[in-house]
Amino acid sequence: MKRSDFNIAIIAPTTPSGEEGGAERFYQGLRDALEAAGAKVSIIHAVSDESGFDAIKASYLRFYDLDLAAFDGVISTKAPSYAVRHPNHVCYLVHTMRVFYDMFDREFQRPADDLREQRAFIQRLDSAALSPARVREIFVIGKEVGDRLSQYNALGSELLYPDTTLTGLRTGAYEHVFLPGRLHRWKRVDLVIKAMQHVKADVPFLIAGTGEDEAAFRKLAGADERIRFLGRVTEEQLRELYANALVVPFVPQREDLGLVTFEAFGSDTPVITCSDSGEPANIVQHDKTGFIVEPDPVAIAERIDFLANDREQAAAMGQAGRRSIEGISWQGVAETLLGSLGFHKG
Amino acid sequence: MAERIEKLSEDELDLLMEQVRRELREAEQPPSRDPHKDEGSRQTVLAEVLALQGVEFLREAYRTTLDRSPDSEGLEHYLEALRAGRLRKIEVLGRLRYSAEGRRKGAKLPGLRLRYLAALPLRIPFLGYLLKLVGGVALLPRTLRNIRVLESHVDAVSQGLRGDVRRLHEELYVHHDALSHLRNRAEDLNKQISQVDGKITLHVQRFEERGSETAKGLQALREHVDAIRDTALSTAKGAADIRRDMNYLLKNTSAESMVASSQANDLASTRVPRPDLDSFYQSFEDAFRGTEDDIRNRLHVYENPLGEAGLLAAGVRALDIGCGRGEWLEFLKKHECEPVGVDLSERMVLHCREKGLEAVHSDAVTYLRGAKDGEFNVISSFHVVEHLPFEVLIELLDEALRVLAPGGRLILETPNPENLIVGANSFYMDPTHRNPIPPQLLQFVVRSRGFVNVEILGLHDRTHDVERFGIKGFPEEFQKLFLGYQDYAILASR
Repeated sequence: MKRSDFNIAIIAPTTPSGEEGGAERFYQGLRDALEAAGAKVSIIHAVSDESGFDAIKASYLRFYDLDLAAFDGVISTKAPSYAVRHPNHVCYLVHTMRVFYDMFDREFQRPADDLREQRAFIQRLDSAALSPARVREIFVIGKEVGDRLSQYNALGSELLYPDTTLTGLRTGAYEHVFLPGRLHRWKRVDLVIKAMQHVKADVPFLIAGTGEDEAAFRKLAGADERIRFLGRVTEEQLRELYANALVVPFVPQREDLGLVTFEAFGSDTPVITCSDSGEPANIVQHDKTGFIVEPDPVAIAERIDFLANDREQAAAMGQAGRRSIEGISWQGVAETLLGSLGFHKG
Repeated sequence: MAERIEKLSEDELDLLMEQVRRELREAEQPPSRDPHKDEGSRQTVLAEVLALQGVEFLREAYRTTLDRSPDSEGLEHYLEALRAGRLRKIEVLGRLRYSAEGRRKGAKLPGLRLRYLAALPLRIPFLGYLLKLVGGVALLPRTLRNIRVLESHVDAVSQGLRGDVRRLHEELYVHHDALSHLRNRAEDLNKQISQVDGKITLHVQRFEERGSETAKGLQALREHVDAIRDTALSTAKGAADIRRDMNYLLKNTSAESMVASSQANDLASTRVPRPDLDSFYQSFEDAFRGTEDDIRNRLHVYENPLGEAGLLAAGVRALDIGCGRGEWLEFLKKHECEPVGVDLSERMVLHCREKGLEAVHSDAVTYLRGAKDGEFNVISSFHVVEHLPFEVLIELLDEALRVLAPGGRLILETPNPENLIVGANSFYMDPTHRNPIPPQLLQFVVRSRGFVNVEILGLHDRTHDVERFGIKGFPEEFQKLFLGYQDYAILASR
């Protein structure tokens, strides 16, 4: 069987509003890579509605009921796409529904019994859907995702970093502190804004993106002229901003992946992250490709000042960062997944 | 693979998903609670219904007593009565149950009858008031406890509501953001669509314009091609006619020239410079210039120009250069002029003399040099100049001017190359022809040597022949190219 005869489905849950985001870019990046490797690929979109428990259950059922007989191989992605039934099924897990896992205690301080039952039910459902009898192999996009799978579902998995879909990254001047992304409290942009109050160097802090907490972040930034909110930017502007960045202080809370780290490294820019930031803390090598600090504005400010005063060091760290992710590519992802589905090269 | 599928058919996910399917189906169609169905639960029904508040209570009350949803009028009426404290819930239930409709339905609600009846005396004026007062005092501790319970319930509910409101508020923010984002995108898309729309309209317009232009162009081109095809057809036809004529003439020519050359040999005693050409020329003239009668007929065109100048009269001295068979000499003689012919061809000269005409065997320039100033009133030369080198032509003209008397006239006839058949073909039928001379050129040369009143006279038009040529209906200029004047004459005066 030639590769071009392999009909592969990527199972892609979408929000009821159809809003595109990082997930959509992930599906497309995956599709492009598989196609480049020679396979025929379809992205199967189906709605995953998480607005209520009945809606969640209906969503699991929707994916379970998908007729995928026409495909030779199926790659499921995030919850609940792995509920599909197919004899040649590999899961490239983006995430389960975190509200029933690590975020449960955070969201519900005193959860009612029915909520606990719901959590147990979803975890049982996920464990059953991802059991070795149903899934050939589970790949996870980050170490955090794999750890959770092991902790809550007692399932093993293999780490397989996806690449960013932002191509053509380049290096430039080390001019500004830069942070792109959704302006949401989970991304803790406020932590960096607070850090800027302690930064002594006259270095601008550019923030790209929009989000529900923008107003709060703007208020916090106050009259500090070094801090500028750029709003939505184009891909080319994004490349330019990365290229001329001195450092990217990417300090989210328990991030599953965070392509920002890869994009910064791809632009020879070092990354400051926090010990509780999740995956970025697994990717950044402290003192080598960036810094891993406590989630403390003063600690972050110290590192920003350090790099602002030694741009050569910043460049050296950024270049080390680029070398550290050289093995990560969509091509590698595609080969690994196709191999797992039994479609070997040649 | 088969083993794998078999294994799949029995595992936990299938069980869980079927459970989910069942639960969702049930949630969609809640089982109707039938009060007649389950005796045991009946006792709790009354308490359950009474535990409800407001609209929910009324809905349930209607359902349990009348087995239907409340009509809006009834709902409003009882809701208002309950809120104003005019009716108690037990009374509403009783009224519904013991209404005509309720009696027909006969719903069983144990305990209702007794409590409803017990409540009725309170409706009696004064006695009701007393009963309420006494009852109220007696039941005060219980009432107070109830109020406390109610208070804490209200507190709990309002706390829950506050939480709900807060959450809703947060959600609203999120949705608001998403909504405004979507709205912006929709506006952007609308703009883009209208831009694209405009561009498409423009392109379509241009397309249509170009289309109609192209159609017009095509039509014109088609007409043009048709015209060209017609022309080509008729030209081919004309060419075939000409070829046939030529073939015919050539055949005759070769026969006659053979005769002529044998005659030339007979005259071997005479000094003939180019006997072959000489004899050829006479027979050629016979063949191509037409018979002597033809030529005579053609000469009539000169009657007017000469006659008007008084040059067709007795005593007029005329010189014809290249007199050939002597048709012109005869014409002049008929008009009582005194003509003399000069010809290079001795045969021609003899031919003329045989007809009693005066002719001299000489070349033209030599003859003119020997002539006296103003000796002649008319000097003519038919189909000679095209045989002459340019220098000789000039000398001939200069000498002619000298030899002409004042007021005398010059006639130079020659083939007209404006007629394409003449210029491209028939002119070359005479190998001694040098090159065709356009009328304007000859006119210019004659004028430049000192002649006056230099005119061009077109001769031997064949345009009456268009039908035979198949170019009838073509523009006149086009017809002239093939059938226009075959010869022309320059008429000039001294």
